[in-house]
Amino acid sequence: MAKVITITSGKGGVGKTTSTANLGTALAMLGKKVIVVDADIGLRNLDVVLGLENRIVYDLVDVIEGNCRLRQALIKDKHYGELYLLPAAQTKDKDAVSQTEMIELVDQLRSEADYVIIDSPAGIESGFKNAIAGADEVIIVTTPEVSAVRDADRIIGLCEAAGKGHPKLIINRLRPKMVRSGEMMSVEDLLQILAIDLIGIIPDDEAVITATNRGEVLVLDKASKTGKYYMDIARRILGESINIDPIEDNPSLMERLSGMFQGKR
Amino acid sequence: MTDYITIKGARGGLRVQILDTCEWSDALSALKKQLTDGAALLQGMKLSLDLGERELSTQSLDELQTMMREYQNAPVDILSESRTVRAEARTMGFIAKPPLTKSTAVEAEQTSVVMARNVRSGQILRHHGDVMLLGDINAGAEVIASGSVMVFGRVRGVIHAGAMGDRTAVICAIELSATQLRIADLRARAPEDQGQKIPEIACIEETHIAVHAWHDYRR
Repeated sequence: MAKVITITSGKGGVGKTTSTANLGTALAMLGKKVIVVDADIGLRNLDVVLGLENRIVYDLVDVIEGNCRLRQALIKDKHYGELYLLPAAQTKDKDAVSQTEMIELVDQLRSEADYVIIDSPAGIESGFKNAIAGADEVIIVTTPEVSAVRDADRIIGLCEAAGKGHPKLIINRLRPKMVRSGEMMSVEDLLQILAIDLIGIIPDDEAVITATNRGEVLVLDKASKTGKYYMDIARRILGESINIDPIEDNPSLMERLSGMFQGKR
Repeated sequence: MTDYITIKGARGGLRVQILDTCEWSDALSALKKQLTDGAALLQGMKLSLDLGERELSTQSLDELQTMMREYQNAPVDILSESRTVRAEARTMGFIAKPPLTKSTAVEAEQTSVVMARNVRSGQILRHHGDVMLLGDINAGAEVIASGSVMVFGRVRGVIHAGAMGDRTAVICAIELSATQLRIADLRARAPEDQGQKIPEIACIEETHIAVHAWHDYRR
């Protein structure tokens, strides 16, 4: 029986889809059978990030409406045979699916894989509620910005009210340099506000954009540091205890110089 | 508070007792005042209106319903000893029940409550009485109480103490960085500079809300 994990955030554009694609691929690389589900009906893009757009025939709504069998709608990944995508419908409305239908679908998926990862739409309306309805666990993605943190806090409250327990937290797009100069909230600040367990930190990395454009995911690139951070999160999902080290980058020359003048280093 | 109206905590909401020996118009205007003064606290709470033994005409019930629609967005129940009033209220769409018997109605006028949780953005905590919270009130969250609010944690959201008009209510917190503080009918914004992070207490001093360091406060 699969474990069902929903990835959500409240605010849009903080990296839910990127995280879903990377964690799904990472878990498949670690030898698990994984199904990633795009629950953002009407605005699908998980397929684009995974580079599987041109293989879509049936989608999530087709399965729910009985237009096809579940296995017909599952798309096999380009790289890992044990990774499947259940794409969202592009043309239908997000109200095409009810919570009960979503829970039934998730229960069907459970017997098909080791891990089911659901990419939630932004917001707190029906799409979000559908996405967490069948989840065993929720992972919240946030960036170190006040608006994203505020939304994450709201989502945590809603998850707790929905009986999903305490969600886990991924902090995305951290810029160590800005944190050092006091321009960005630190990991400690975020954890103090949100008061939930951290499962990983991802640095701000331009490579994410180029990878997304190519329809590749960063975990496939062995040289990518960001890919490694996602891989660590996947291992933590599997229950390995890996320390969450602070993100380090090399202080710039200017920073080191000013540090020298202030008598540091 | 007038003698016409008595408010008591009840399971899942509040019970509003309306004196059944006075003129209906007096009772109605007292209720109206109470609903206006306590709007912050009352509006989101489930109310049971206890009419006691009063007999009411359809027209009077109609007046009551119109008024409740205007002030209240949460459900309102009718409690009445009179079978005819209950029957009439039901036809108007109220849930009508006989008042609880004395033995089961062991309700204090105001209750204090201790809660160990965080109040998160978008969540509103309402209570008739004092609130002691072991946890944080995050930005975007609200705590509204008719009594005082004591927080063993950080406050970044909004607190409204004395929400039914009690100007003696206070707000205390280990770290009081609230977006806004309200006591009774007054409100205050936190100063822009973040200031010191020490335990503080807010109370009304004549015309405004004052915030003192915990160790400076003398009652």
